[in-house]
Amino acid sequence: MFDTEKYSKNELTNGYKNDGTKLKVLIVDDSMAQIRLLGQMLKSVGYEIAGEAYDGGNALIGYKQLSPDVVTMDITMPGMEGDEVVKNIIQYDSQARIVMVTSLADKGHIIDCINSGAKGYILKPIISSQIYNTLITLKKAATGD
Amino acid sequence: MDKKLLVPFINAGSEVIYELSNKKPRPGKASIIGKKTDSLGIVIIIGITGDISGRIIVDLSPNQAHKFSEVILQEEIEKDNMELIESAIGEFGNILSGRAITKLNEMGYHLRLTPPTILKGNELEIYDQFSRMLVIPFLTIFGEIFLNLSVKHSNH
Repeated sequence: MFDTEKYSKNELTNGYKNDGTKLKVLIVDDSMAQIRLLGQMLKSVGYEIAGEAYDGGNALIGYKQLSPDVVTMDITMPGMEGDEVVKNIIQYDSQARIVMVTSLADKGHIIDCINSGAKGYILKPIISSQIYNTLITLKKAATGD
Repeated sequence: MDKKLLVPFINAGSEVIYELSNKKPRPGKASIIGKKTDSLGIVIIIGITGDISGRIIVDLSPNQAHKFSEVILQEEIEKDNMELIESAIGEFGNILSGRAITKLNEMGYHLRLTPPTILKGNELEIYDQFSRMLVIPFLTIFGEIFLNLSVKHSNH
């Protein structure tokens, strides 16, 4: 697994709130591998994995039930795609904090997601050299900074 | 196949394999094959829609799929955990295709991808009903893997 110890000790990149409690994240992706990779990385820096959803419909249900601090959302999924799910979640909670996860296949689509209310995006593949940027983006979104 | 469509796929394949394996792959010479070719055992099929349409097929052996999965997930995986291996290499195909499509979109195309489909089998054949396929080999630290392309400009 990635060496994430230094990131768990850095307040810009770790998964803790100012009061020391864990930030709750909902991971939405149709790929079991991606959920596992992202989940393990986020847990290792302090996040609590509140839930996982493999499609847009379950993402909305999961959001309503779990009230996560932040959602990571794949863009390309079967059925309802990421931008549509963002709209639905934002319609339910205008303060929702959602970060798109993408391989940048469609920049226009990312812009659509941001316009719909997503707070940012992180890039796939998640590799060592990008962990810092990934975690900073997520922490900023999760804490509203 | 239009040559300018080819370069983004070669570059995307090289970049993504390098990022994942930390070792630059060596792209081999692209060649056009017939409508049918034997697979190494596992294929990832990703559809392209938009200004061009067709398929990207990544062809690799079960052993390569296992090793790629381990580098993607950064952990050891049991060889018989096919569900996880298939999910990981599907993601690999997704990322590679996404990178290529990004490059094409930057050239002015408007393209989208479909989620990956994975097929496996001992005597699997890759077959395209409509056109000949172009094959790009990549020599990786896990042996040679193949990118099969079958794309054409869409009629709008």
